[in-house]
Amino acid sequence: MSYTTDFDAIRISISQAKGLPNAHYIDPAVYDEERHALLFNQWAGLAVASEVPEPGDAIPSTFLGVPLLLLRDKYDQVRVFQNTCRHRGMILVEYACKIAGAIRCPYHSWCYRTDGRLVSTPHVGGPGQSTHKDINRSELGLIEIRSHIWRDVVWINMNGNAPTFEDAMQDAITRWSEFEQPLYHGGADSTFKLDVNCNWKLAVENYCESYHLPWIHPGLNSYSRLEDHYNIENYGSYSGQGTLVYRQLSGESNEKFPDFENLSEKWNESAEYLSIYPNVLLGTHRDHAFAIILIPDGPEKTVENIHFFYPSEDTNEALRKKNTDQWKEIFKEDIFVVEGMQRGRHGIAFDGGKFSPAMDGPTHCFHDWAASQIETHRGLEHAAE
Amino acid sequence: MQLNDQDLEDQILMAHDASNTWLLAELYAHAAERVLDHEQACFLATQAYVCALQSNHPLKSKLHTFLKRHGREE
Repeated sequence: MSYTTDFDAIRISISQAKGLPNAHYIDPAVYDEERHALLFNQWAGLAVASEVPEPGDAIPSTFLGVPLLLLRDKYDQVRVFQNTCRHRGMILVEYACKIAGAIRCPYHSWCYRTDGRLVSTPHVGGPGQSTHKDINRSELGLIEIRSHIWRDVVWINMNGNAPTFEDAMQDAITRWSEFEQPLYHGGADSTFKLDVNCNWKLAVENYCESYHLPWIHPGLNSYSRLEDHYNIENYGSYSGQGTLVYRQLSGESNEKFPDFENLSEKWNESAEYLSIYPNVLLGTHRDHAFAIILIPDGPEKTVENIHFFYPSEDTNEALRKKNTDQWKEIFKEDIFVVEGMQRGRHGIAFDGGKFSPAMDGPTHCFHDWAASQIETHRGLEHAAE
Repeated sequence: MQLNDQDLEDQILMAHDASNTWLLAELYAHAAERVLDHEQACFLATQAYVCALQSNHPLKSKLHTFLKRHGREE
């Protein structure tokens, strides 16, 4: 790693701090470093469990260049494996599918159970002989990626070195403890994808602050003014914004979504939006929630996978669609901003930027976290050398 | 299923083309029963077993028992 970052300039009081410099948004070498420091070493979001609703459902994907297989095993447990056969490294599952029995490698047909155990190695000892003294199946199961489900999001720790999920996310879990109740994915009308030409961190940064709302989302001004919002800063794990004037969506006959149960009065008109570091953006309201999972696709591209959830399995389809459309419009309004900031970071004299001490706290909080993780990572790399 | 060898081979190739592992399990199992050579039977039973595992075909238990009895499977 040849690039050096002035971490002291980032990790000081917001009144003096600068943002992360350009290289952290455009340099492939820094992107690769952050892949380890900010994503593989953490609990990162991969998908939602509702994408694999039934035992045997399997979805292959590529997460930061690594082929993964998300599946629900026959015992109903959601698991994430490296989508790579232990024999010759062949990709095991090419398309989303239902695994009826075993996962069979399409090359030499080694077979794995949905819990990852290797169950057959056909002809491995010669024609018609599927055993060999040097093939120990118990050591050759699929490589499982540490995973955890929270708020239906499948969180993964690629390097297996993060604290337990509960420890790592304790503050966020506590903050939203009232919402620890079943979430029901709205289904096909409650999910969409956005492809954006920006570094994934810019999507985090834009999401966590309310400073931009009056200009980028002017439609909110009539009922949700800037002064109705507050900053949320939890150094080391998340930041975001809250509103004090959440207004429930209504249908043509004034129908509304049901509420989550037993919420305190505070949530009648409040809603909160948290950027859970590194790459998951969550929102919660009295009557619905959403998750945006950012999948980095190179230094300057990100895929945003968005899912909406409700307190009940049985919600009004037209109202769900209206809600999805409303949010989609808001999220699309943000695209030119994050893409503009991305292009702006090719301005060679840009120095990371000057924060508003009053309004940019959540963004500074994220930069402080990112800088601390990268600094630690570089320290460990240096020590290893 | 009563087939001559050529018919069976054609059926197996068609099932491979169609990625019909359920049918392949049955065809290979049938072929394994027909051959006289023990080594060939174990080979075909192995093919059948893998297809049965993948498709969760009920033949998998019987095939596993056969292969294990002959020291071909764990």
